[in-house]
Amino acid sequence: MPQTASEASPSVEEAFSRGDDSALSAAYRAYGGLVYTFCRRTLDEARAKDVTQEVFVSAWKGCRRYEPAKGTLAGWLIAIARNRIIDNVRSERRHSDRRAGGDIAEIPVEAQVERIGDRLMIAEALRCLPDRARRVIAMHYFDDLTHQEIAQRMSMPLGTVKSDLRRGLAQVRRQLESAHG
Amino acid sequence: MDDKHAPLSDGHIEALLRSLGPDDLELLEPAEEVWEGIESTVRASEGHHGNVVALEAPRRRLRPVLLGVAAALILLAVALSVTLTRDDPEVVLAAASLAYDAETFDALGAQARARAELVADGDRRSIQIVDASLPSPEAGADLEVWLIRPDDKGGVADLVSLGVVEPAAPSTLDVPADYDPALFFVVDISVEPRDGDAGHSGRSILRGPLQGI
Repeated sequence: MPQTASEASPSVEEAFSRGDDSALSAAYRAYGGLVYTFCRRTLDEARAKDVTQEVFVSAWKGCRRYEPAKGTLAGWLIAIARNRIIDNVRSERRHSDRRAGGDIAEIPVEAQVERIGDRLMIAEALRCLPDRARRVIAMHYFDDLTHQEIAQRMSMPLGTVKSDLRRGLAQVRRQLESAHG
Repeated sequence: MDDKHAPLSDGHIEALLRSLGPDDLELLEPAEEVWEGIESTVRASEGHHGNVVALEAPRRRLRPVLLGVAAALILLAVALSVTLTRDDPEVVLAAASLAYDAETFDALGAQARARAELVADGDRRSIQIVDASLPSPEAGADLEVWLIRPDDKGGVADLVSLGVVEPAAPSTLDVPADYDPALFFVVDISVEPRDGDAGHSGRSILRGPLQGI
């Protein structure tokens, strides 16, 4: 099943917000891998499967609360997943404490879960970018090339490099802010 | 979608970009059973949320095999069990109107309102927060739902956290199997700072007893 963000066109997001019949399966095709990867990076396999199911069922039941104008569907789903994951980790910790019978200090997990979600949303934003913009972003942030070096390597005007970077960062910001609410 | 998080700075975003690793770029594909679980759960509650359309991906088909009588009977029993489970509708066992107490609750809840429903789905019990208008807590805090077992004097004898509720998102929170809602029948929503303390903060914003249980 393909898991590319480019599949999730605005029409899928609109259809999901309306509760159209085909929207749940379309959203799952587009974001099932993203949500499951988030869950699997923080939970064991069995719970990752359960939480992935819960996220999509819960989102579908509340689909009319999703407002495409306020953020991406990927971000909305990741926000729901984040809370479910934190619930699961807290619940497991409580039961562990209960089994241990002692007053064990809590290890904060929220920040760690949020950071993993942020990184996945950035990767999702990169997948949504046009090829050229994605290459420019990768050269600048992964390979540490300067704007001028990128312009030379890609035989592009310096201004185009800068605008690709600006648009790329804007897309990343939108995805991240969608997940943060 | 609330505003509990501070705006993201360019520096923060750029630092995250530079920190991406191969694990972040590779997506795992969930097993087919994950979608099947979603599909069956949604189908079970069809009627008030519309229909679910099957995935277009090819479905796994069972290969024809010769079965012994015993194996065939086991499969039949499993099939019946699955069918019965999927047909079980969610049943609302009890409901609570959650109210704000100006004298003892956190001021954040002054305009809040919500109802809680105890829902049975097969063996599963959950609390659904419905008809809710909940405030966004301050940055670094969440709204958390609890079930309380009151003592004879109306105090708190024991309590259990069900998890975090998102002010603007649907909320269904499982009741742990070893907690009887007939005993833990008071629903509480509180503001919980992410401070590493798993106990109740004392900052309740809404509370009410489940009626009809």
